[in-house]
Amino acid sequence: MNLLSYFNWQGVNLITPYIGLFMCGYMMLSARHCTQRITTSTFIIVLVFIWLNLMWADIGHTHFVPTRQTMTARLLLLLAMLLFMAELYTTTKIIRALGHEESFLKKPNLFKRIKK
Amino acid sequence: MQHKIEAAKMTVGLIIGSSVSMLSASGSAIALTEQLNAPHKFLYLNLPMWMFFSAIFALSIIGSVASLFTDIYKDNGFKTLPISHQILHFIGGFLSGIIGAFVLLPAFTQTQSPPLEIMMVTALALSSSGVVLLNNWGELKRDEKLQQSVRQLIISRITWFVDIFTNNKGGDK
Repeated sequence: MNLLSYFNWQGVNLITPYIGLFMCGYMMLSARHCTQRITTSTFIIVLVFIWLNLMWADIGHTHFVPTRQTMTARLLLLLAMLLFMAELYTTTKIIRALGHEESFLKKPNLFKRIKK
Repeated sequence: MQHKIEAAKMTVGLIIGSSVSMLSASGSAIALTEQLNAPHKFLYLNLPMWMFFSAIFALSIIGSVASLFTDIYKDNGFKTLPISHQILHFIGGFLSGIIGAFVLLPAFTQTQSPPLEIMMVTALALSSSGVVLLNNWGELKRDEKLQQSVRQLIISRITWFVDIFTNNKGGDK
């Protein structure tokens, strides 16, 4: 554990919300991640609120002390977001490959109901 | 002649009185401008406070303009919308950023003066996400089929859950 004590864990704790917000912004603005569905965009906005609240917790109250577990939870949430980003990328790629004809892409209910 | 002198004295007295009240009001205004010009250390610079407030305004504008380029509008983006909708989107984003930075942040953190860096990040994040949420909520309210299908889904899940207990003969409830 001596090696781990040289690492700036407080800095890791403080920087994770900024990384999370950047990833949310990237997902919303990227052309390779389709956020047209209501559920997808609302999910990303809820993630934005999660990271904002964690950022506010770091500065607001004096009795919030980050522990090893809260820091691990933040890192795991970042990992979960990375996996969600990969999932969204793959899904967008599959749907675009399926419907590269223009008439198929212009159907309004394309992302609401995928026909089996 | 006498009453004209009296009227002139009264008028001069009123003018002096109103100018004193004006000076006292502008005194508080001067105090506000002094406070806005007070320096605050940020990135090794002593910047006046009004720069930070204008940065928060500018970041709200940037955030709401950036949210126009997301995928929330169908039919290839925001350029197919009428101008009034685009302006409403922009104003909604700007207002949500300002309200988030100046109202929600002090209320949630219960500090009267949150750090200015956090205020700027909050304005940027909430201006781009507030209008997306409003748009989604509006679409949900407008789409009757979507509301019906959500209601039916909830009802079918509840009945499935209740059936587990009602059909369970001889088991504990």
